[in-house]
Amino acid sequence: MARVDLDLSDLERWHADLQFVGVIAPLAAEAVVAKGSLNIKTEARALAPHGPHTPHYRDSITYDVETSALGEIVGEIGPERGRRQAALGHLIEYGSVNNAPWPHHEPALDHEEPRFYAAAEALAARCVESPRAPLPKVPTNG
Amino acid sequence: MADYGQLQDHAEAVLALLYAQDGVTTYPAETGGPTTVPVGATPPYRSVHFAADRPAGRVLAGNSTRLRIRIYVHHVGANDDAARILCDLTAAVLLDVRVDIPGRTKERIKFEQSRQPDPTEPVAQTTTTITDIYVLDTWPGVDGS
Repeated sequence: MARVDLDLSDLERWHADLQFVGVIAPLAAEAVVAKGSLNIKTEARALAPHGPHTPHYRDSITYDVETSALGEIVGEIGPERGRRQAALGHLIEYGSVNNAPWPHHEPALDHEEPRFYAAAEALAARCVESPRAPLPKVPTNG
Repeated sequence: MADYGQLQDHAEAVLALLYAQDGVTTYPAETGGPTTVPVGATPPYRSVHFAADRPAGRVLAGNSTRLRIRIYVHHVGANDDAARILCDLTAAVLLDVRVDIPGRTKERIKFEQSRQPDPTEPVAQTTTTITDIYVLDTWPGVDGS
């Protein structure tokens, strides 16, 4: 009687990797969003005015990353309510009838966009090629 | 020498669209002068500011010739209705328009965001301002299609 022996160990290992990816992918994605948010915050602070009239404003810019129960990851960057001069944010960013805008969040977002997409692509490749590589550690707020 | 684009060319092209619209006062005035609105100006009117940036992308790596112009239009009306109508009038002349800037390939003007109406004073309101932001991207080359 014919007999066929199959070595499925690689397939089983791949199956285990895919299950592992399902667990760590949300954490890795959160790290990508956190890193992007951190970069935007850092550049927005650098671009923000900090003259004698707005000495505290740029320190009011923070970021916060949250993952909802449905898995949606949201990064929020901007002046944090309660911090000194945070209320000036919209007036500085968008200007007013008689005051020219001082864009600092929008350009920072523009500059981060290609880096964010590249990081998201790298994350997708990492999940397939080396799912057990250690995750980057990025704080989810700051 | 690379064509980095001139902010003034872009501003003039956009302002020309706004000035061409009858019945709407636009600052800075067509005759020149400061961007600031004159004291005593009566609504409705709109005040326009520009900000330039040179983000990466759409051009050869390492080349900073892409120009992104943000157009900040502050619409001032006697009340919310007037400010909203002014917003619509601005949108009618800017949205999806490809401005004429020789030597540059232009995206159509796109809407980016609108700020919530801002009453001058919450109790005895005298004017309402709505700020809309539009974006114009250009880079060197012939007219895009």
